[in-house]
Amino acid sequence: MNAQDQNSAVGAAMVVGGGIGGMQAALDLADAGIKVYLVETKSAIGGRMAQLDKTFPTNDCAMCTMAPRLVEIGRHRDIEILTLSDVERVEGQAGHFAITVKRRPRFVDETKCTGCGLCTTSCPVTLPSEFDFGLGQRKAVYRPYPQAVPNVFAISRRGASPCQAGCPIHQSAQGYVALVAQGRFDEALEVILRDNPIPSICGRVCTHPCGTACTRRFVDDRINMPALKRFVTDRRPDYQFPKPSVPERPEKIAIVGSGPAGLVCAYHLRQKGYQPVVFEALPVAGGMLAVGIPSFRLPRPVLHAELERLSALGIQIRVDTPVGRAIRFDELRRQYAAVFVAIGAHLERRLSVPGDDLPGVIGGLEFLRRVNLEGPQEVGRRVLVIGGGNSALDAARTALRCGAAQVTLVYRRTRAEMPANAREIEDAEHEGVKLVVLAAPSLFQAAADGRLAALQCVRMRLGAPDASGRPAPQPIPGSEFALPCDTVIVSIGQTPDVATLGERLGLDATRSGTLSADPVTLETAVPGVFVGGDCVTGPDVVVTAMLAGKKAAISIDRWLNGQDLRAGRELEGPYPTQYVVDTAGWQTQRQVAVPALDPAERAKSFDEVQTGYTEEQAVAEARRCLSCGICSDCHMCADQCQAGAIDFGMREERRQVTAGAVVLAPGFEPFNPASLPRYGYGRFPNVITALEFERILSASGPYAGHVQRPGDQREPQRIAFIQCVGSRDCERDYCSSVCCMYATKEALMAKEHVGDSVQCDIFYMDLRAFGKGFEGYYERAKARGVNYIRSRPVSIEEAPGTGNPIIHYLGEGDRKKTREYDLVVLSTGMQAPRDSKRLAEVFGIELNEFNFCRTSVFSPAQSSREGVYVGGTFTEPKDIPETVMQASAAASNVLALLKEAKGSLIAARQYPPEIDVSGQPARIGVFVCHCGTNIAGVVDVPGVVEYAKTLADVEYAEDNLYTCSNDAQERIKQQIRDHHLNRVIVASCSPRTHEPLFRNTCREGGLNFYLFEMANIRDQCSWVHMHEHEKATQKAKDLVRMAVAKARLLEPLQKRRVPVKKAALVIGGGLAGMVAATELAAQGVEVHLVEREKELGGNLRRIRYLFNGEKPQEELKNLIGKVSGDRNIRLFTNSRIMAIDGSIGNFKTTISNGHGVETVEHGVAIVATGGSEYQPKEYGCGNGNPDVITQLELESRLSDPGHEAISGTVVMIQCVGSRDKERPYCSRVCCSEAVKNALKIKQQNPSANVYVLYRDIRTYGFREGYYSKAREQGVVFLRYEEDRKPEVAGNGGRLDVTVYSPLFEREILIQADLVVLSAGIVPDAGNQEIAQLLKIPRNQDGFFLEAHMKLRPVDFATDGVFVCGLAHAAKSIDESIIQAQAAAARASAILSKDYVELEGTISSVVVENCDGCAYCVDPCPYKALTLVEYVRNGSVKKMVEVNESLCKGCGTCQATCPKNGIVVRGFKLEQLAAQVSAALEVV
Amino acid sequence: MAARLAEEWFAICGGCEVTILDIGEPLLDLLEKVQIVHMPVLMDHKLYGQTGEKAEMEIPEAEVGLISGGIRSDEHKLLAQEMRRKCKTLIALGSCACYGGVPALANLCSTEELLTKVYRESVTTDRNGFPHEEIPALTDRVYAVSEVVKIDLMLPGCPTTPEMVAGALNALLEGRPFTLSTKSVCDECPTIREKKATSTLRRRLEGPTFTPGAPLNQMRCLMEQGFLCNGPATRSGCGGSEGTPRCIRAYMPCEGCFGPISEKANPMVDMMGALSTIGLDPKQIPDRAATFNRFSGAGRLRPAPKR
Amino acid sequence: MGLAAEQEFEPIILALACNWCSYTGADLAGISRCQYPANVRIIRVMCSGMVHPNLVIDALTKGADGVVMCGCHPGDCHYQDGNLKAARRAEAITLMLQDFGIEEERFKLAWVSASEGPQFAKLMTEFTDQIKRLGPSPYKS
Repeated sequence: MNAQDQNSAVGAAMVVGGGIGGMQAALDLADAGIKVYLVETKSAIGGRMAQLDKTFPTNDCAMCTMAPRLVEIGRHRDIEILTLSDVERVEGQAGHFAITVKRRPRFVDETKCTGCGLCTTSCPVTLPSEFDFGLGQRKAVYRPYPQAVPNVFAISRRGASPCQAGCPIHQSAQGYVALVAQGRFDEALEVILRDNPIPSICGRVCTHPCGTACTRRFVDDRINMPALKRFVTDRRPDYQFPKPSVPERPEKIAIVGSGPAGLVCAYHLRQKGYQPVVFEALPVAGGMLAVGIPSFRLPRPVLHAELERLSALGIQIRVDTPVGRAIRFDELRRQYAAVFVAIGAHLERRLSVPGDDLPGVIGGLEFLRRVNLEGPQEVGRRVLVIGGGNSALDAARTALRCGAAQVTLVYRRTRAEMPANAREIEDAEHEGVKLVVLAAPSLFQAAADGRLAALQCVRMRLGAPDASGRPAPQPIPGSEFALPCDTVIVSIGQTPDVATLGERLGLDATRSGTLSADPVTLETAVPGVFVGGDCVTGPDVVVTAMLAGKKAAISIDRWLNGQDLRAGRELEGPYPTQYVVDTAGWQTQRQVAVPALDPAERAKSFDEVQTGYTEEQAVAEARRCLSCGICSDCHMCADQCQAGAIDFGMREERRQVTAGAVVLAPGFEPFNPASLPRYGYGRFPNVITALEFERILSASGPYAGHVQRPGDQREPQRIAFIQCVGSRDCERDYCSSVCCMYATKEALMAKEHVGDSVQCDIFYMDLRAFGKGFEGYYERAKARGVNYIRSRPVSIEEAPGTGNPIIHYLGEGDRKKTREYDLVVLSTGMQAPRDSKRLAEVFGIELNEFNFCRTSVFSPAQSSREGVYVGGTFTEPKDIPETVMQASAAASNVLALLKEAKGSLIAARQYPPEIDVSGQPARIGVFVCHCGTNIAGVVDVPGVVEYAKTLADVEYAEDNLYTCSNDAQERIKQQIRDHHLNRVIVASCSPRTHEPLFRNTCREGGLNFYLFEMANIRDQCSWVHMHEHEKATQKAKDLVRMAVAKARLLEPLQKRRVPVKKAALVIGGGLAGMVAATELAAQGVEVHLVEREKELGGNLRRIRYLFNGEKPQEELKNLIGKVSGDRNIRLFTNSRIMAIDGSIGNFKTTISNGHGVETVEHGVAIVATGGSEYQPKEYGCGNGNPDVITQLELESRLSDPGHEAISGTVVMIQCVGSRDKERPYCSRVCCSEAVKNALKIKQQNPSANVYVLYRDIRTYGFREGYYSKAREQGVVFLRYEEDRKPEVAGNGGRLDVTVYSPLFEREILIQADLVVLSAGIVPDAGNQEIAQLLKIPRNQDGFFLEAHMKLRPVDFATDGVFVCGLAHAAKSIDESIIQAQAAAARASAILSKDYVELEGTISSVVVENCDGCAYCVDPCPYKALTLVEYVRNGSVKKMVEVNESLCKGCGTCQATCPKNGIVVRGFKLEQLAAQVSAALEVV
Repeated sequence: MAARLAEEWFAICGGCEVTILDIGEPLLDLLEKVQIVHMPVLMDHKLYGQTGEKAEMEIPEAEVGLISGGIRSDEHKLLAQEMRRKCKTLIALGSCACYGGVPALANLCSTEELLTKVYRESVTTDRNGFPHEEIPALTDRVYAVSEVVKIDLMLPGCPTTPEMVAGALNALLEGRPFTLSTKSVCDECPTIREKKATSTLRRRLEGPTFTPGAPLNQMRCLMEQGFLCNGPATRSGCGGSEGTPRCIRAYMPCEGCFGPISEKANPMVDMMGALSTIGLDPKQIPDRAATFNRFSGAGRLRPAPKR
Repeated sequence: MGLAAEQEFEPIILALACNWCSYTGADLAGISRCQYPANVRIIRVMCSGMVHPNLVIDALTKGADGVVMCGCHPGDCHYQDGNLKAARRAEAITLMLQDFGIEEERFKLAWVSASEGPQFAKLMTEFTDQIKRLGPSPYKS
């Protein structure tokens, strides 16, 4: 990188947070030529708004309004979305940040996933959906909501579950358990077979370390995995292994020993294509499985079946072939590419006690081997078995079955130290085996006939732990005693037969008598020879030997391929998981017992002791699983996914991103009311949060929009909403700004859903309906019967038996009251994002006392670090439009910072020249998608293709596995060329999501974008008729035929390009206008700023001080200086706008300054015409009474340095000229103004008395803190009621103010020296004229009406015109600045382009049909149509004309015209009619 | 040699025949070029031979045939077929022939209902039986001539205009093409269009606002004044060479007598759609079907379904 | 048409769905796998307000057994108030069906939002049932 590069700014920005704010900032930036990295911590963008049902005050559906925006972002070429990502480190400075982003694995390849959702149908793991706050469920593989962007799935995966990690061969235990729980037994078997070639053996004899690791044991009992595994395999005794899916390899591998290690090794090698040959010295295969384990534990048919299956796979097993004797070892090494030695440990340990050579003394292993090979052996009546391991128990139980009358086990430690499985010991005891513990044999006593008569033992006691960790037994001297017996079976362990075999093989032995091998690779000193299993470890359990077999297979494969034997093998073998699973809250449900034969009966035969689970038992047992790893690793999704998108190998990764600036929009964290026990949240199921209620109301929510309470799914008839939960309290002295309105909305929606009979009570302190249109909404809610109860809720308890919450509260007059409800909704407030401290640290920005980002009034979107901007609730709780505006404002700041680098990193797209298809007959290509099995599983796709070929004008048809895949795009382009196609149809999913992709493909193939049509045969066919294959196929054919009918009539359309005049007009030179002008100027745009008055500044000239000490007049001076000094700004003061013509990109405006007239050209216009303080006539104001003044007048008095501090009594009256019949809106700022001025009075003279008479105090956001401060300083706030307004009487020095206080329930008289009226804000009188000039709407209050109240708060429906400041609605200084900057950003997106591209599907007049009747003109919502006159054959005719820059293609005109005189291209009446007639053709 | 001309009239008032007379002076020139061989309104030509000796109706051969009136009886049907056989060029004269005209309003009810109403239920009629002797049977509904036989040219209007009749005949005789306008009445209507939004309809009797004597291009569109006007869905041409539509000249809204602009068009649907869009409550419009299909009921009107 | 065929009457039903809400809702029905009868053929329009009454009348007089027109809920229209205009036209259409001799139950206007997948499926199921009960359109020969 050279020095110049380091200094120049980077043309990219990072936006952190993919909620509605982040989305807005990303779009504004990308549209203006900045490459955007959008970092989202979740798996999809959309944020909180995606979870909302409706939005106030228009009751728009949240998802309806944001879904198109989601799609727009998802497709934007210059926005790269980094999901599951967090910023870790930020280096560098403004203009050039180097940012490290950590990306968590999705386990689904975003580039391959088509979002079809087949994976979720196969996933066996269900968990509470976070999106629905646990009220609904989702699968481990999931998409948070259907419209999610990116529209791909993700897997919740903590990593291997404890059971899987604990298993030496990492059998996916959670996987098969989860499948068993769903009754999907065959799939469970598939999962088992993936890692385990001898599962029916393992289900019986494995010691199951998985169970030892099982988390369920902390609740009650571990999951009985062996019994489940056995159940699954027993169900399908005839299952077979899949044949190796790789090419055969010629190498033969010798495996010495057919025990579990050898068999597993052979299996894995075979699966890799090798030719393994297993040599077994014994006459039977299976090693210890065959000769060591008795058949009542492992029935021989089971063992034989496993061996058969392995043989069927192509594994040779040669029994009776001892290596070293039948075949020499060096021969083996010559003939075989590699050798694995797994000879086990078959040499028995001897007791070394005098008399151990007496007849009647026999080794345990030898005993078992004989029984297994020859059948039951004769034993004496009294049998002693020495040892405490599984083999000893096997021997004891076998002895019973051989006819012994009494079998006694002698063990030198206690029962607790016995190495055998507890269950085996229990089983043996049940069968009648006696235990003698703490006894060690010291002498075999012979009878007179030389036969064994008794065993002399010595008593032991436990001492200090020995090398094995167990207490060492120590003999108690003189405690000898004798046990009479006829047979003694000594079963105290085995060792490998190293002496006779190992040394002959030329392998090293250890001192403990085992073979030595590398613990990771199992290599020996001899190249190509590997050893493992009991012969290395000493006698161990089956699964340990299996691990050795698996390791050996990996090593041999690598060795033969010349690869590193050691790399990446750290995690082989058991390991503890890295996470802890919370087991709190699980109900106890003990393990399901495994049925077994009656102990008395079974001891007489060699029949298998356990009979195994039934289906019901297995399912019940499996359902106990806690799903520790979340994803169970069953890989069923991967099997389903034909796109091959599932990738379990994904790992966390780090990515370096270079960006010139950062916008932080991490949103908020909803307050968790569980931390306030008095509300009972978390304890009472029918107390929920407002966001939970949003999900309940949502049609796509857990209850599909049916209002019911979570406790018992009953429809509530009485709902209470409790306000200020987690807001306006001691710890959180701020107002969350939105709760009053959302509660009102939710109450209204509840009435909508349940019916007007439902009682909705809102418990509140002040109803803060301060936003645009809110007051009217509040009034409508009251009229609809929503009941507002002014109160302080104290606590909630639950009525016993009914689950009904009971609210105790203090009502008006501080009376204690109680009310019972069916459902209580807590209006929970907003908190700073959970990781705001971390963010602050990473980005080096300052937070305020509540951990929100600190900003200032005059730089409201700027953090404390240069180049890092903020938007949305991260700076203060706020509503959606304020969030959107601030995000745009942040974007504006970025655009100014990076103005030189704009456009440097955005992607340009090149297309081949367009083929001229005019005059050609239609040649249609049809591409029918299988969508994996999403379509093909229901619809006969080849049949649809064949049908398509029979349709007129269809030149070519084919089917594709995934038509949206990259290779399919190439095919489409190829077929366009090969078959000279001039129309393309894709029959697949929805045009909403995929039309742009395919249109682009057509264009790349040389066809016009609009010569493309889609048939939606997935979302609207195969998915909704899943069980009607024939009908769905028929419908798919119909849909294709309809698409063909339309396609024939498609015409190439051009996206019209309107050149953009790169200048802006700003109307109004107040704060908003000046900020908008300077912002645009800073971005390098030429601005014409028109101000009616002589001086700039507007209302700001009358603001003298602010809450936090900032100096508005200094800021104003700076701003005016900036405006006048900027070469990009042309200032027109004392000027009026006479006319505005044109539309987006090309406006012409005539400006007059009284002396002359000038016309300027501009591409955009920003309306900042402002508003003013209402001039009150109430309370005697304006009658020349100097003691009744407005707040602004007071402010001017208080800030006059020559003025004396106010003494005596000041009464402020709120809502003068607001919230009344004439002006039924709230002026938003007056409460804060009153508090500000009250504090100023108190500051200047603490002894002054200040009374504030109010209706609701609306100090939203952090203004609340100043309200608290005012009360602390003794300002008295007295509420009055709308219908009993205060009265002011008297004159000259003293005024009597009487007010009825509902709190005290009586009239109060205040003798005031000064009465200050908080006069509202009224729209500017000139708004009407501007509205007419620009053809933009105003609302009934006279303020300008934006395009959409939530998502497009600075735009008009008319493109290229924007609004900001008081012209839009009453707002504070910082809000005006934010909106002005937002308007600048929105304008900049247009001005940064050379052309505005207009959609091709807009209206066009059919000249020969239009007769100028003008019916269409007025209904056009965009005023895009005008009636024009022309002369035909000498007479004057009329016709409509479309302004293509204004038309949006809604088609109102088309539907209105009585004679098809105006049509929407691409949706012409004849095109739609062709679809209709095609639909009606019965085939 | 003068071209032979045959004329028949079916279900009609006779107004279109009067229109021929109304051609005035040009008619004299025209009469020199044609020889009328059959025209019941003028001469008593016996259909079954002068003595009624023939079994089938017969009309003399002619180069040009004119038919006025829609088809209401079996006899009309047979005669229409005979005209088609005998005439080289067949012209439908007036909206009754073209679209069924006013008589086709009878299509709003079944023939049986019609007879019941006329012969049984009408207060001015004695309750007698239906006429049945010597009278051709009624068809199931009124048909436009073109629904029964192929028509070469339509001259719509109720009545059609003398200028159009003369123009068409002259063109035919001189071998020139003659085509109807494909524009709507609005195309020729000079009134001012300001804002369509209308919420209430006014009665005809109320009379529109205009300055007497002032040119019509200073009067506001009658629809915008609240008078239901069929102009947008009605074929233009009634104004003839003067242009301005006939009704408008009389300060009356278009009745729709020139019929729909194209055969496929559906004036009622087109007008109802347009009117409801501009805010008119569609329920306000009285007797919709008849209002919009007053002259074009053949094939467009049908009895309401029995519920 | 045989007796068996009459019993198995499978109506042809057209749904005209606006791109922004209803068509999205129909897609959501698919994403949520909500099942409904296969008789419905959806035609995408940009706005319910673009549907000319002729389209509906033509369909019903040329063999469709039922037509349902779906738009955004009032207030949700992507084009301000196209849906309300559609509602007024729908009223006119309903009136005119009488004139055409068609049962008014064969036509329906419904609001379906982008998040109402199940509702869309329910609507289609109920409408199809209704049409099945009505029997074939009188315009079917």
